[in-house]
Formats: sequence, structure tokens, C-alpha cells
Amino acid sequence: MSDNPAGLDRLIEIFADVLETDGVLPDSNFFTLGGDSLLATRVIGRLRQRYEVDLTFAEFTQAPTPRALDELLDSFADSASR
Amino acid sequence: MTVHDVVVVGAGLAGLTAAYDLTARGADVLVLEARGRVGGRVRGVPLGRGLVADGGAAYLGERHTAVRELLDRFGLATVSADEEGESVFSLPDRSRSPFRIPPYDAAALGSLFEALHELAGAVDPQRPHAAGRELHELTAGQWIRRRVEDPGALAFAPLYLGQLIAADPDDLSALCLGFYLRSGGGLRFLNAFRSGAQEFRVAGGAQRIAESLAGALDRPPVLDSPVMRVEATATGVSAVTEHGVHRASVAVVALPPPLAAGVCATATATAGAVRGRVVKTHLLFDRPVWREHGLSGWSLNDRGPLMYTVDSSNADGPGVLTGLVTGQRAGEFAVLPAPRQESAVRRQLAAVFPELPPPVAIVVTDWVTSRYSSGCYATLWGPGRWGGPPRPAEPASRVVRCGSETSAEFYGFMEGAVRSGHRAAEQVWTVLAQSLQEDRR
Repeated sequence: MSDNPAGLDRLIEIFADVLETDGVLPDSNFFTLGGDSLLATRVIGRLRQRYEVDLTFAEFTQAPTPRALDELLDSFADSASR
Repeated sequence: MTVHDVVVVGAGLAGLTAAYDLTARGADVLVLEARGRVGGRVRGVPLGRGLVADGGAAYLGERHTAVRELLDRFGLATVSADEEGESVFSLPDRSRSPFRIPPYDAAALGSLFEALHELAGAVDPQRPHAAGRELHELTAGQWIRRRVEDPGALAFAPLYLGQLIAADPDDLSALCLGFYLRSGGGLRFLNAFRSGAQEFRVAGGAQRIAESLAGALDRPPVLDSPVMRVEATATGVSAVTEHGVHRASVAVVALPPPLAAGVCATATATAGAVRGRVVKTHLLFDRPVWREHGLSGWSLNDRGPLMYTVDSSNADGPGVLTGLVTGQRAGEFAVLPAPRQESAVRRQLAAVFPELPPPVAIVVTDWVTSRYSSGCYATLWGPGRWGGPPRPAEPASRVVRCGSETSAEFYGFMEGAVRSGHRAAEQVWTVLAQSLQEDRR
């Protein structure tokens, strides 16, 4: 279970919407599915707008799958609650 | 006096495609061209050492199917335009990045791209007039500023769009921008090199498509023959040049909208027409030195004159960087005397790419003051009543329009020009068949 406001299912949805594909799995790599830097900023923009999550571009490139991103956002939520 | 089946006015890709299709069907076609060369906004520029660069339209992608079909037909090869390496941003501080987005707040850039994506989605290219009023009334810049607040994203917007449309965001209506983005295949396709609209170039230059089409005609295009008027009667048309009058059954007017309106009365109104403005610069080096420094050659900067550079070297050849100036800056750059253009480019290059030696040669291709283009990349439209590309002519009309700006698909692109040429040829063929039947009665 995710500890961040977005969560794995929402992250998969955002990836799918921005990449315009149904084939996003928890371990799908954003850039392998045809994502580029422009589309990545749209994911980052939505995370801030909808969930007030602040993610840098470099952080996103280090966690380019829904699962890795979910874990990264969990760690943000942990450090914020401490 | 000879009466041709068809007179084609304009030997750009659209007019040549129409002429080629009609010739293949057995029609007697005369092509008249104002310039001393064929190709229009597709132009080969010699850089020396046997190299020819694309002084005009250059890039193609997978979805440009009509152009790709011509490449196959004429056996023209392509070269990949996708380059590895880091980008350089100079906004105004210089930075390097493995990515093609600038070092501004990523979420704010994301909201700019979300807005542009939404704008493209709000316009149906077949029915742009049906879009909401706000899109007709606002400039693209006003529309963006209503949705995006971040100063970095707002500073980036004109640079990003300048490269896409060769105009400033306040030059054109939000409707026209949304139309252009959607017609061109959407933001994602337009933005990308790999799998996008900048995937490859034509080996030897895109003008080879025009030359191949022209070479396959029964009669070579007549150059240096600006057409002043196209007149239609019940039985035929005449195209009037300084040198004489050419008669035909049907005319194809393959010119950008403002020039078309100047020669034929039936062309749609061009109030609100705005010229896209671009100057293209080619910088020649002994080899692509930037690659040795881990750079792709792609750069973006806000100091000008060159707002963008991109690697357009051929494999194993000398290094070529293409630099673009667009919009108002292109207007200012175009009127500078040549030595001042060159010194400005050299000064800027040394600041953006301190790793590089000075270029061996600088070749400037100016589309701003070019008389017979009337907007490059394309004619765009300011706020007002623009309702989209002209409707196809009435079925029986003897004057048929074509040109990239008559195409709802890939408006402003080579692909739009070629598609419009095919469509025009179909239409002309129908009219020719009808008049043949009438003659026999």
C-alpha cells in the first residue's frame, strides 16, 4: 500500500494518459514506452497540480517506472512526516 | 495558340505533385514558376565541398506518408536526424543537459505543455471555425498567459514555439496555433526527433524531391515567369505573365494564400494573414567537433540571433550546424548587411559553444525578404475570422487551389503540400473529364 497521496494506480493512469497508451504496467519504463523529456514534464506538472508533490526532472529520470516513482514518493512522504 | 489541358501556377512541392499526377494520367500540363528554380520553400543551398544543405524545409517523419511515397518512387535515400549527446542551454547562463528541456522548473514547463496539448485538442483541423470564441479572439500568447504563470515557462514559450511555427506567440491567434499543432500531428509528434516530425532528412537535400517531380514531367517548368493574373471563363482559363498569355482548360494555383489572392479573384480573403518568418543559417566545420565534446549540437538560447542550433552533418562528412532565427528577431536579422549578420553569428557561437573552433563558412538563407514565399515556414493567421484552409473549389470550377496552406492535414509542412497536390490533381481530372464529354456532345 502506498504512503503517498498519488499511489501506484494513479501513477499508472498518469503515465498511460500522457503516453496515450493502455499498456502501462507497474514496471513499465516511461522512456522505453516512448516518453521523452517534454512528456516527462507533463507527468511532473500533474503530480504537483493534483497531489502537491514536488519532483525534479532528475528525480523522475531516476525513477521512471510507476513502481519506482511510487516508492520515491513514499520516501518523500516519510521524510515530510518526520 | 496552344491550349493546354492544365496550367499550374507555382512549382513548389504542391504544384509539382499536381503536375506530376496529371502528366501521369496523360494530360498536357504547363507549369509556370516565378523563381529561377523549382521547389518553392524547399531549396538546396551549396555549402562548398560538394555539400548541399536544406536551406528551406528539411525534416520528415514516419507519418509523412505522401512524401515518403515520393521518396520511394524516385529512389531517394534518407539520413537520420536524431543525434546523441548533450544539449546546451544559454538562458542566459550557459548549462549542459542530457535532455532537451531547459533548466527551468519542470512542473511549470509541464503545465505549459499541458496547456499546448489542450489547445491542440480543442481544434478540429477539418472544422477550426467551430472552436470556442476565446480561441478566435485571443493571440496564442494571450491564451498561454491566461493559463501559465511561471516566469521560466513563460520565457521558454516563445523560444519553444518559435522553433515550431517560425513566429512569435502574439503574431497568431490561439486558434491558428491549436490548428497548426493538431494538423501537424500533435505536440508529441512535432516535438520529437526519434519517432517524430524530425526523424530524418532527404540525402542530398529535400529539393531533390522537387527536382525529381519536375524531371518526370513531359515539359520542364517554365522558370522566371511570374503569373500576374489567372482568369477563368466558361470554357477555359488564361494565365497572364509579362511575356504573354497561356491558355488551358483548367488552372491549378499552387501559391501561398496571399500570393494566390493576388493572382485570382476566387481565392479566399486573406485579411488577418501573418507571415511566418525564418532565417536559416548553415555553419560549416571541418568535422562535427561538438561530438568530441559529448554535445549533440542542439542548443537553445535567448540572446540571439540564432535561437536554436541543430546538427545537420551527413555521416563521415564535414560538420554542419544549422542555426535558426524566427519571428521578429528574424525580421531584424534579415535586414542587417551580410558582414554584420556574420559577425553576430560568430560572436554568439563563441558564447554558446566555446568548445568549437570558428566555422569555416557561414551561409545565410533568408526567407523573410523572399518575394515569392509570403511566409515561411507558412502563412499563419492572427485573431479574427480565420475559418481554416479554404474549402475545395466547386466541383466544376476551372481554378483549383493547392499548396500546404490549403491542407487541413500537415498544414505548413512538405507533407501538406504533397497531399494538397494529389487532391488538386484528382479534382482537375474530374473537371477535364467533364469538359471532354461536353465537347463530344
